[in-house]
Amino acid sequence: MATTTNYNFNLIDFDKIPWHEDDHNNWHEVDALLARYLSISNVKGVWQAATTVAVGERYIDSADDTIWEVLVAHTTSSTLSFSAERAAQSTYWQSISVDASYAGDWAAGKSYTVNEFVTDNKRYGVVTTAHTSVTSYNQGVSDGNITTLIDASTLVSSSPVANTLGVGESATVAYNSSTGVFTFGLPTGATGATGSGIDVLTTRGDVAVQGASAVARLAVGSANTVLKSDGTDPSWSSIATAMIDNNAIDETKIKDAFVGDFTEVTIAAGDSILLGDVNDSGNTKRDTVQGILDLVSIAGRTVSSWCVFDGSGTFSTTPADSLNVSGVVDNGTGDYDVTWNTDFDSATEYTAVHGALTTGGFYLAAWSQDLNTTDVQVLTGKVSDGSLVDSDIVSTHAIGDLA
Amino acid sequence: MTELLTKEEADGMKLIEREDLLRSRGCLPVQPEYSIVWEDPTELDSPVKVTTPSPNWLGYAMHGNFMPDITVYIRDKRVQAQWIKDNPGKSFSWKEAGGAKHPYAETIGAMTQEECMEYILQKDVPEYVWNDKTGNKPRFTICRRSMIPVDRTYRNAWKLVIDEEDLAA
Repeated sequence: MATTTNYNFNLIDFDKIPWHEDDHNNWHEVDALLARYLSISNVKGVWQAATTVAVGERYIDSADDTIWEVLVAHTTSSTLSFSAERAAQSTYWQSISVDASYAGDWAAGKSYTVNEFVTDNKRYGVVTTAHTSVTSYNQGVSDGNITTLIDASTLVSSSPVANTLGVGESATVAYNSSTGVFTFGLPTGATGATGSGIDVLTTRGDVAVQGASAVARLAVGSANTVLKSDGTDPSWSSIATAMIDNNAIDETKIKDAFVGDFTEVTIAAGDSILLGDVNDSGNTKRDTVQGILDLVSIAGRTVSSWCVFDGSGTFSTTPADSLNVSGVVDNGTGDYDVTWNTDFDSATEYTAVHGALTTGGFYLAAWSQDLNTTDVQVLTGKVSDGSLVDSDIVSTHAIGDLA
Repeated sequence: MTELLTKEEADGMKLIEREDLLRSRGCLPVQPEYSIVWEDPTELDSPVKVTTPSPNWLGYAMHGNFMPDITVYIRDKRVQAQWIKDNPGKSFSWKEAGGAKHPYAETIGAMTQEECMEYILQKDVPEYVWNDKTGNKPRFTICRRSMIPVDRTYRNAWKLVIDEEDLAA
């Protein structure tokens, strides 16, 4: 029996008795082939009037050769056509469209129908207009017959390139869009948690610093040193005076600390005080509380000089006590000069008072006849006639501005 | 001897301040072993004079960092004398004369008691006495105080007599 070229359908000789078996075989073959490419199942045949249909069953409208699916189980109309029944019972049926199908790799001269999917290298497209393909997939796209859904032709290459860089250089990365290749630049040295730039560190306390061309190691500094900069490189150093900015001292905080933070404790004469030396550019100097009191006692003094001495006894004129007196001159009986260690500024601008202890039953007086910037003359004599006599104790006090 | 006043401290103070500070810090006085016996050629009828240093001053001078160099005092005396000569009839004042140097001058170190006597001679005895170039007779002598008479009955008749043997020595 003759058959068709492609699918070997039986070309039945209708004079053959019986020929229905050959005919059925043809239909089985058609059914199998359609099922292979069309996922429309559960087709029950041409719609028939007055027939019980179930949900999901599909029927063909022989008037326009369309396929319809049952949405509500019912018995078809015995009087209306299929289309008239669908109009009367719009919720009973729904139209079935042709499902998508895979048409394999695109090929030239091939007849494509709508919703067929094709692949071309790394692209995946769908046929939007039935056509017979021509020169290329791209031509189908440009003609509007195919729409590309996925284009994976620009995927990243699975073979990136690694370049070695020098120690301390920055890592680099580049991408070539035409080849899809990434190129990575990796500094030499250890990688990972420590990092290539920190690889120079060797000892606890080391610090990594950027040198002229690469990262370098700065070993830990000595105790009580700080990190300083010369404007180019850091180094360890003790704190020099020049490194302290006067303005860095917050005067307000110091004041607050004085008032609020320090406990008041009674000072002792030997306690130290830090001062700025007026004669040495304000450099600090230390003195004691007693030293300050000493200066105050000088500044507040009203009696500039004094002297008490024996004018007649065994110790001659040796002063028993004195201030600003270098010595005493015994000029003769009841006549003495007290010489000042620091001159008075002017002989007319200081005063001196003297006293003499009564000796030998006489009332004695002491007075001056000559006041000089360098010394003062003290005379002691009898009150009764003014004749000079020695006194066991002579005292002199002088008040005035010193030179 | 414990240093009660450093030179660095002392040179930042006036002379009177140094003396007061040494006194407050307990610098002890030193009883002088010597006196200067001298005669004033300008007072021919006067008895000899006896200059004795103050024990306080002597103690401080022997401590050191107290007195300036003696040349400063000599300079000041000459300045004062010249000013008085140049300004007859006017009362001398250091303010008008430009100020004295000795209260502010740099200090010298410790001196022995003998050096102190040489110092006090030039400071408190007129220069024409210790620097006399008018004759051979000595105008002064530095002697032990024990050599000075205790009996002062004829004090106003004391004269300076120096043995020829002493002069030869």
